[in-house]
Amino acid sequence: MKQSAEFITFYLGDFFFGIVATEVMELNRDLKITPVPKSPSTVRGIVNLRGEIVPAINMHERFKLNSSCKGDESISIILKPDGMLIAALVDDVGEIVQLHEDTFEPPPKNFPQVSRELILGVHKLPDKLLIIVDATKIATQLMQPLGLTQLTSQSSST
Amino acid sequence: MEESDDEIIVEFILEAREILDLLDQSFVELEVNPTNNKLIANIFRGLHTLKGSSAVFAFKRLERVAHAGESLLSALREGSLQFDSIKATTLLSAVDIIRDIVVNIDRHRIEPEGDDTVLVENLLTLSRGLPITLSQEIEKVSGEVIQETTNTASVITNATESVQSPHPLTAESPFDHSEHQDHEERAGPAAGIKTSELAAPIKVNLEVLDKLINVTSEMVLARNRLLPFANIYSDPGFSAAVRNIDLLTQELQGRMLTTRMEPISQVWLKFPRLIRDIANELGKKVELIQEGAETELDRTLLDTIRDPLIHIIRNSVDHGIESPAVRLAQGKPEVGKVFLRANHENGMVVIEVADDGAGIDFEAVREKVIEKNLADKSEVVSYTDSQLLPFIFLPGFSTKKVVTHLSGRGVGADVVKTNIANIGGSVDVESHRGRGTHTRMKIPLTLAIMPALFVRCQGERYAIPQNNIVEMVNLDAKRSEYSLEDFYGVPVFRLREKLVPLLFLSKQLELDAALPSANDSLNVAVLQSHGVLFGLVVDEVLNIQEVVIKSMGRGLKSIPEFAGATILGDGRVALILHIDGIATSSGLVAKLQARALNPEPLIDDRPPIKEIGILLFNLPGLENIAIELSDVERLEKIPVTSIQRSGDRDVVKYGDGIMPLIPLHQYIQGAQPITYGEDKLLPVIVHYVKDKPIGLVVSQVQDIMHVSSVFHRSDPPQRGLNGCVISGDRIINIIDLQEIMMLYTLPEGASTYPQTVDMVTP
Repeated sequence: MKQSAEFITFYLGDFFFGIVATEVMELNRDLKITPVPKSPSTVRGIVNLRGEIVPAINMHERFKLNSSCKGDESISIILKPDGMLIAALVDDVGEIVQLHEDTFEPPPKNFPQVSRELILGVHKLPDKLLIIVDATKIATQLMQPLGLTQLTSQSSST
Repeated sequence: MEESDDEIIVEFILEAREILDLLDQSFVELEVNPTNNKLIANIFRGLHTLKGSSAVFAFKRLERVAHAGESLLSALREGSLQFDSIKATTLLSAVDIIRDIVVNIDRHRIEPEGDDTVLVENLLTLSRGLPITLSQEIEKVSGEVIQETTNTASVITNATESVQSPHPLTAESPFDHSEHQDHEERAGPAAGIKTSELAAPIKVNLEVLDKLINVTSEMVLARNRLLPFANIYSDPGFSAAVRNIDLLTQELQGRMLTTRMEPISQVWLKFPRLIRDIANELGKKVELIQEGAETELDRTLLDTIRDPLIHIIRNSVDHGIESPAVRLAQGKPEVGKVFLRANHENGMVVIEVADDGAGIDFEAVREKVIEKNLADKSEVVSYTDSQLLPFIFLPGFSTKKVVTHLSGRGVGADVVKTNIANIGGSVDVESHRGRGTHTRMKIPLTLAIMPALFVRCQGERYAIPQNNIVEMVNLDAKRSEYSLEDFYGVPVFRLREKLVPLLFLSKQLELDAALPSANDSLNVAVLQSHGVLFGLVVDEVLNIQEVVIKSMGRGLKSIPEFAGATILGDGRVALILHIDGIATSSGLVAKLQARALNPEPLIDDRPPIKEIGILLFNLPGLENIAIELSDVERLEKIPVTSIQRSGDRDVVKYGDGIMPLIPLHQYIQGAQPITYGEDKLLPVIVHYVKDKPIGLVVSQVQDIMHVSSVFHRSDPPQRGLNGCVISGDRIINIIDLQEIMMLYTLPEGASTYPQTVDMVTP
């Protein structure tokens, strides 16, 4: 991690997340999602991003949060780590923050184990915690059904 | 930095491959036309460019071989030496070694180890006009190097100087524009392909093109959204601007789609060399005739058809074409012919490979079928050729007893069929003993766009590729003829006396929806996959539309039910169903294979044993001779007085046209001339070739019979006779109409190509 970096922030349920701004291509509000049957629950569907088919990731499901995705009202953060485009569906987008390395800490222990792998660490902000996520890991291992079987009952993606 | 180095190497490899392909082509042409200096100059330039680039990367072996080849070519170009087959073979083996090295560099990014001294010395010896000893290996052009020559290390440096001074070309395009005009005047004798397009077009990364096409499709959608506004705001300036954008977008779209198209000659370029090599190795003489090399199809498809085509051509030369001695003994021309033809037909590209060789060895197929126990032995013995033919498409089926490095490794017709089926195409093979094999591949113009039927299921639209669709049926429970039945747990319905299993799309896609009740009417798309016919129940049938197929991306490719996705006019994405995947993952294929649904199972595409109708007639000296009824259009009695002469042919007026009369006895072994008086009526069998009538003159028409279509070949072949069938105690000879037609048309001396192809086209 650099000394100081810019982060795009977003909300998923009660959690406040950040992602390095250089990984973010754009934000998009009106992408129509086409569900893909038989895809892992983390994949909400696919969207058309200027002629390219891009998987839309249900970030609630990706982080195994016990909250549900807002569907078509979600905002898509378009990420392009490793050359693979994905649309990360989040509830809302916050402001861009500039943060220094000295407030950075390892991920909290109370986070689900599977999602801790996706987290680089946290920044302690004056009023809340900002969880920094790893864009590359979100995009890759998409098809690996992380704890998928336990979670099918609460599948919130439909 | 490393990355950019790598890019340069990739570029080098691309360039090298292109040059090598052109070299192959040019060498083979050169053998036919050894005095063509422009060809030599082209080859020289190609090698020179290779040498230059190799030096940049310090690929020493490459540089050395290219250089030695260049020396020889330089001498040839200056006219101090004559091109001959020894030089051709030596140069070709140099090209082979260069190719090996390039392949290795591509894989490992370093030049492979190896000793080319012998080859290099041979090249240099030849370039000084001295003879070399050709060992067996080099005769075969197998990439092996000759065993012995004298050791002349100093020659290399001498030759370097002599070559480099007159041609100080550096690493520029091997076939630069300045040469272009000259090439255009030269017609390559070996092929219908122009090798003169040596003014290389610029290379554009396929990815860039795909992006551009994407952007263009988006542009079209954006235009669609814009159009309504022109109606709302009646400002003429605005409307004009929108119309302008509309037209430009259309033009853009049309042009973008053509950028993906490339002529099939891209693939064919390698074939003259391939055939030359195989033929040389097997001691056969083969001529390749190409037609329609300019036919364009999608670039990605070109890659897919390359291997199947190579396979088919190899088979033609290896198994099909006989050795010159055998051919001569059979009364065929010594040089075998392989035809390669491509053309557009109803929005598809049809590629045909035909040869005038021995045809498929059906007896070997029969043996193999029995040996592998693929069908009931008692039936197989009486199978006709057309019944045996489908077996060659079974996986691992090879009749070749000895596996050569050319063919017979069991990677055969089934792979060809699967590969072609994967891109929505089909393969038909026809083979006649002693007359050759004709393979016809039908493939879509492009994979990127295809017609698809849209259906709705649980509120979402899905596209079914049209090439899977057999028909659409609405099953109404109230109409008894469509009642659903149960077949070992699989719902089936009756479609014209055939039982067709049903799948429910909502169930296959695991969309939790209640299955329709027994009383609902069902929308069923009857689909075909892997030879299995099944019905797919959908909620609603929408429209048929051309779709642009896009990949679903790395993460989602592995879902078997989907072939990809497409973007609809409103900008939304729809999934394209993969019918083979649905059939397989539903378990239907396995179930039907375990238990045949219909007595004549649908999964079995073997034709049932059939009877053929034949028309018996007499010729003087030959009785019990017959023609297949399917070849007979009409029977006529023609007054002898109405026969007129046209050149050396007898013709009669027939309807509005002219019908030539073929005196059958001239073409059938053992028949004697028909004698007829002035007042007689001649019995004539009318047969149509390409919508034109042809009259076969016989002495008497006897009877129509239906006999088992089991054919017994005449051995040795009898001129004009295809073989015999047995009916009771009678042995009936069936005439070989195609051979007769060929013999009949031969004296006309018209271009040999179309007629010879007719020989294998029904």
